[in-house]
Amino acid sequence: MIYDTHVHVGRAMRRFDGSAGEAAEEMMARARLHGIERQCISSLGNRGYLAYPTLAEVREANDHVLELSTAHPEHYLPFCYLDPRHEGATLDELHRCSDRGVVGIKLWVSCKVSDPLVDPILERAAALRLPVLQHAWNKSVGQREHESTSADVAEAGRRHPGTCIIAAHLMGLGCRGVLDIAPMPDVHVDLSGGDPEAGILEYAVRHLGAERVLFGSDAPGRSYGVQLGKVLGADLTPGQRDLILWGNAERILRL
Amino acid sequence: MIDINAYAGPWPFRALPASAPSEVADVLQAAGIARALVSPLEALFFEDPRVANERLAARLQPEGTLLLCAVVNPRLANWRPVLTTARESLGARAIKLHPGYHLYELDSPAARECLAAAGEAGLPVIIQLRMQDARAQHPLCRIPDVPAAAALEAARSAPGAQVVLGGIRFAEARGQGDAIRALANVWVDLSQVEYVDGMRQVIQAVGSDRLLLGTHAPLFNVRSALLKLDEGLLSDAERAAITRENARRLLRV
Repeated sequence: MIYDTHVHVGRAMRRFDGSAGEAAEEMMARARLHGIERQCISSLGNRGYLAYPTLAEVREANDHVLELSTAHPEHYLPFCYLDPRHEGATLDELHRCSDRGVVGIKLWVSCKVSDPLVDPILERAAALRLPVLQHAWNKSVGQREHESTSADVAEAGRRHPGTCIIAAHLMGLGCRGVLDIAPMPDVHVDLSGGDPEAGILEYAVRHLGAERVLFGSDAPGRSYGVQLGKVLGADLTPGQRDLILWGNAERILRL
Repeated sequence: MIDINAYAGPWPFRALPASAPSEVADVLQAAGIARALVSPLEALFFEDPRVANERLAARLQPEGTLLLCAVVNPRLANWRPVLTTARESLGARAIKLHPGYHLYELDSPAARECLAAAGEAGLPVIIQLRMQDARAQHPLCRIPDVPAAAALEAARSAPGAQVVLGGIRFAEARGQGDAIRALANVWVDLSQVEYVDGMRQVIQAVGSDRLLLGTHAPLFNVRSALLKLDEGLLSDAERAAITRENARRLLRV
């Protein structure tokens, strides 16, 4: 069984043929083509991907994720989207979602993860034993004002040992990103997004160990197959491959 | 299978798992690819790509997996002899243009003349729109993407040339579907086309008769290019066209 730890849903997403309706069934079918039987889903909003959502928009997004995971408990694993700018209300939303069974937290680009505003979330995540999937990218062009880099993730990891942080987008972080997070053992990395560049995964395994690398696709913006090819085409031992495709996810998500 | 868009040689920004022609050939063969059009990565950075073409050609096995795709820079005064030599002496089966790396516009007179000359020589032309995600480029080496519309306009201006849009992205291919269909001399390299339903939607937009398997190896993982095809739920006829028959006709192999 393969776990895809980085997938997005949203009510604004349409079916693959462009017609109105939920793409969740199609995404399950397409994932299963490749043996992906569990997908960790988060919604970044129901009007598209919302970088600076209101609290109401966050709640609506999380309600949608919880609906899907309730309808398909054998497949979808819910992550709740939080915006640290909502401060105290953010923790209320975290508890509301935690009570309803979310298995992780998704943070995107409204606030750098090194910002003190994020500290309460990271502390509470450790208490609840929930991993925090943090978007991060080291861009040469187009870096957003509040978008985290690997240095931000490393700083958060240093301040919060014991919190499982998954830095998203290995291909966007590159070698510099791997080296930044390497000293923090509770910081992991996922493979989602970015092109299937050869050799980067092997570099990450060499410097982090396979125990700190998780498969993720970033579907539907990316293809399950292309992203999975990063793992299946890499020079890894069978044991390393198993950890990346399912072993680490089961350990971190306590499944 | 035939791969329309592979490379060989060193990449200055990171170590590649395979870079020597023999290593690239091994990687492709292991994935079931029998023939691949390969161009020298050095040609992007050498002042005169002719040297890179010659170095790669000297390392290719006769009748081997790799077929030379020579890089031509129409901005240099020697582009005509480079084109002629590539075809007559080096055995090139196609040429590749890198307007982004070699700093010229596709509507320049030299570029248009080069396309026409390639058409007359019977050499397909890959116009490479990009080599990598712009966000991942070295901060001191930002190479702008080539607009797909500019490549299509160049193809329109040279109807005798057979033009492959190399490194085109999903949104570009889908968005330009009608324009591509309207030009009988244009094909699409799939190496950088990606979306969850990307294969199916590109087939609908462009048609399976215009699509070509491309791996972007050794920069990209070959397995990703093949799993992308699986995700498209291709019919046998579509798979045969995309992975073999279209390229066979284009390259006459």
